[in-house]
Amino acid sequence: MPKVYLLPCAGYDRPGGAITRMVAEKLASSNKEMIIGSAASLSTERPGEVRDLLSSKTVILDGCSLHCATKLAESKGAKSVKSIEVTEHIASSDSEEQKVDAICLLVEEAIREMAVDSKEPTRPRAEISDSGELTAQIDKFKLRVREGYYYSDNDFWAKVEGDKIRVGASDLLQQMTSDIYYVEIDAIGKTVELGDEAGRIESTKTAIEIISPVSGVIVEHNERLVDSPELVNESPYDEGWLYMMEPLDLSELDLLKTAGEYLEHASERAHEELGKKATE
Amino acid sequence: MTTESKPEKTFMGVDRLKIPWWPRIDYDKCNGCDGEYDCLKFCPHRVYKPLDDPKRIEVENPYNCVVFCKACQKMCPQDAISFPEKSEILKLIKAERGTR
Repeated sequence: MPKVYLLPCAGYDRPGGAITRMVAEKLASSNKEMIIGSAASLSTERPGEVRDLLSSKTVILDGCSLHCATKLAESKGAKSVKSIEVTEHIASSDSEEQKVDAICLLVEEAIREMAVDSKEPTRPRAEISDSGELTAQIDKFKLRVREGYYYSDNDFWAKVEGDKIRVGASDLLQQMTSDIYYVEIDAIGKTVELGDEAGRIESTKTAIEIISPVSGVIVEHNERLVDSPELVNESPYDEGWLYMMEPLDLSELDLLKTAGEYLEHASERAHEELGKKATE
Repeated sequence: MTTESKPEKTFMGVDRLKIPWWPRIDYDKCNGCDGEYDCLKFCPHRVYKPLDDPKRIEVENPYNCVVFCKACQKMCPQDAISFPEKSEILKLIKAERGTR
């Protein structure tokens, strides 16, 4: 029996929300491999929660046709989830016990189906390490995305640190640019808008602009990159950070992707870009 | 082939086809770098197509262009490439997100 992550919507104001919770409790009491997910923890990306989601077979119990729980799990990078909308499978005349039993059977059936499916080779699932990194294997490349950071579609990350924001390049970007030998950041004190150029990176393969993921004033450079620009390749989320900003508008973070969303986006890009390279 | 358009692509959650970001060519200036086509050589996203008679560059796949990237503009020896205002594009993206 595979490890199963069961996410009940548990919305008490929804027609089937309370049933989803009762089903989860009943199944968990008889199946030690089953993890009951928390929509609240998933929403805030508690590391253990996202790890459980991404490293397990996922069954979602939606309490109504809005499918909030399924949408939430998919936004955090869950793939191949099996969703059950409970109101489609129960009659209002059924007793509470009958409703719970009917849905329990459906979940057990879904788990059996997933166990069979998993014997066929599928796209690699994302995994999460103890350091809070989501990883996905793309052909021979391993893609890393750090949890708790925000990501732009230009492949830069922003991390909130007190009243400042640290900016760096994503692992996908450093892999695509390959060996970086020069990093230039715009002057301290300069104000850059979201989408503006804040410097450039040169590698053995190309030259790219650093496109700022948020608006703000540049207040610090990573001085180590002057002598060791390769840190961007070696440690894109830690030692290879690029610059610190005083942000102008923190609501811009809403325009960026969460780690789960970015992993999905980056995996698709990596399949196109890195996979192409791997097969050339 | 990697040049086919993929209309399902989004940028910052907005359909890429709704974002008018791609290079504009000033044909009074572009001379195709006398057949060298520096922008074409530089850009890995197959945005450009070279024209032969007269030698100049054309934007063939505008939606392949990476939104906010202006790197090719700096490569152009004739200063013939320009882009829309980033602030206008950002305004448009925010407005589109607001209407979803």
